[in-house]
Amino acid sequence: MREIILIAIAAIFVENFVLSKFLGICPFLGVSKKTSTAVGMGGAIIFVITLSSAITWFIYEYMLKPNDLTYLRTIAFILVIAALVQLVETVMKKFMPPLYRALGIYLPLITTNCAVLGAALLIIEREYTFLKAVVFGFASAVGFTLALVLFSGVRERIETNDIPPAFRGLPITLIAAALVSVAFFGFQGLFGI
Amino acid sequence: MARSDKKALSVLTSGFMKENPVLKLVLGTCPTLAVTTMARNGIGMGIAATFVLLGSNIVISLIRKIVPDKVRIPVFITVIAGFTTIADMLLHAFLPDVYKELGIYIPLIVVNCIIFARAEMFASKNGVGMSILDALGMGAGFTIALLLMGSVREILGAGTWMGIPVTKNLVDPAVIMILPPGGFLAFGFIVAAIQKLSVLKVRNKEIAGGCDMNCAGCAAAVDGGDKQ
Amino acid sequence: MWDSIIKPTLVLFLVCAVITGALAYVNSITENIIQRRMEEQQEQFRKEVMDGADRFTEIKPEGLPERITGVYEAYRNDAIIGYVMDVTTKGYGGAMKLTVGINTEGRVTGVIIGDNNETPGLGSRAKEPGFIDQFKGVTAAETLSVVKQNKNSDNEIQAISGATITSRAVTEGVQAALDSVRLIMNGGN
Repeated sequence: MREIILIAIAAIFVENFVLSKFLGICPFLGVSKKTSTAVGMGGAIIFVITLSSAITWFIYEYMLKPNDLTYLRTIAFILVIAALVQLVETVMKKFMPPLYRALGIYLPLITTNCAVLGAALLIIEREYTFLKAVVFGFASAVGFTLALVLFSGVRERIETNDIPPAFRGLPITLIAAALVSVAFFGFQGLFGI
Repeated sequence: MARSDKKALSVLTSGFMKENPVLKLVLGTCPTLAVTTMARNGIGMGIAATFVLLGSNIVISLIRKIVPDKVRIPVFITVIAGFTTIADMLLHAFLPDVYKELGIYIPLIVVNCIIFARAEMFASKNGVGMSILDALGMGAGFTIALLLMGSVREILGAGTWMGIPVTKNLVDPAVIMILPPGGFLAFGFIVAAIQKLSVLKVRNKEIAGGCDMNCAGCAAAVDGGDKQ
Repeated sequence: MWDSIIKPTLVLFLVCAVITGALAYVNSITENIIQRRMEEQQEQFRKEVMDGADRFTEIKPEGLPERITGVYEAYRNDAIIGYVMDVTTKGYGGAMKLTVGINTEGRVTGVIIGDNNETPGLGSRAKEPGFIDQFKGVTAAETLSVVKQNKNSDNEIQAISGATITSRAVTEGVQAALDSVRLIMNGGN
């Protein structure tokens, strides 16, 4: 039990997907400055990553490993993720149209989000059990959302500042991200992790 | 014939600077930040990604006429994933040091927006020859950007370049540059420098809009190009 | 019907089949190369942990813990000078492979950390002499324990600050190797 809690805390703070492992940067940098959109995006990602962690774990343990086909994991995983995102999109369109419209372009982007495939690959690399795999996936996505929401707030503030022309847009966003990343770096060594 | 030669040249070189995938189109940012702790790793990733880009551009260009629109996306994904896996296996067998350094980011090449974007926007609409040039150009641009990032971070953060001590023995390196925050910092300053040097005010406005436009381009690519 | 369902499915299936076939082919080639290199490296590790050995013979004793994945008798001039163990232990980022050399007096002659996924800058520092050399000369007389402050005896291993899990993993692995060698030597191998 203790190990599971440690995995979760580490995934959210110490090895934050965005600020420490650089997984999921595109939506992180490009997310709208509106915190509500960030939360919606984060929610979708949490859903997708948690599900994909579970499904890819099964496929690896019961289909690829026993048949010595582990080299097919990249293909299998990415296809599963693509199908999953498609499914989420269809379901959302039908049952939650306003959310679907709000997320719009970012939904299909989840497929090429390093974070989703990254989580699946890390789980395999670390040889987690099913329970740990799902917890890790969920917690990593929560960490991602946390970074996303925090950052949308930071960007909101930056908007009103006087920024030198060369730094407007992407550069200042990156430098702000650097500062948030430094803040999270302080979590290293938490609980002796 | 001179016109098509010029077009070929522009296809090849646009990836270097004008449409540099990382620094201008803001694609493929994940590996750019993650593997550039050393210049050597940047080059390794650049070459691996170029290999995948080349392979997938060629194959997708070759089969573009027989792939029905409906299964376009899964087919692209499968092809790209196939070449990524091949790159992974070849690196593991022949360049184990690079393989260990790049680690999980090698299979992550498959979700590198650059490759998918080029497949969707170029290879599926152009002949093999042009697609090869496009792949080489974009791949070179990517590698150049990675090399730049890697060099800056390595020199400032470890005092070496390609493992050769540069300032290491003169000045204490700023270790933060090879840690995650340093990645963001280096990227931010490099893009700022480029924006400063860029004569095109139009470009400034586009990038100032944030990643939105370009990620939208990538998303449109994934979604089926309708919104394009 | 053909255009909307059958053709797309066929094309997709074909593409998948061709790609899978290509991968299987590349895999068969690279697999052997990788395997061979791993064996060479293991041989190298064995020589490093057991200085002076000129020959290793693999043995398969029974009753050892599962994490011991390989046992080798180390010979010099046809006399056994010790044992080298391949141990797998669970680190922070997954499995860690250790090569542990133990001489016939039951003392550790060396530990090498091989494949691992520990955090660069933290757990990966377990490879540094400052940490790993602590194991040299250790015996199975007292169980090894990991401490965070300064150590008071040889059987206390000082953990790497910020990498306690990694430190513990390596220590457990070496402990398993020590126990196993004691088993083997007492079992009159």
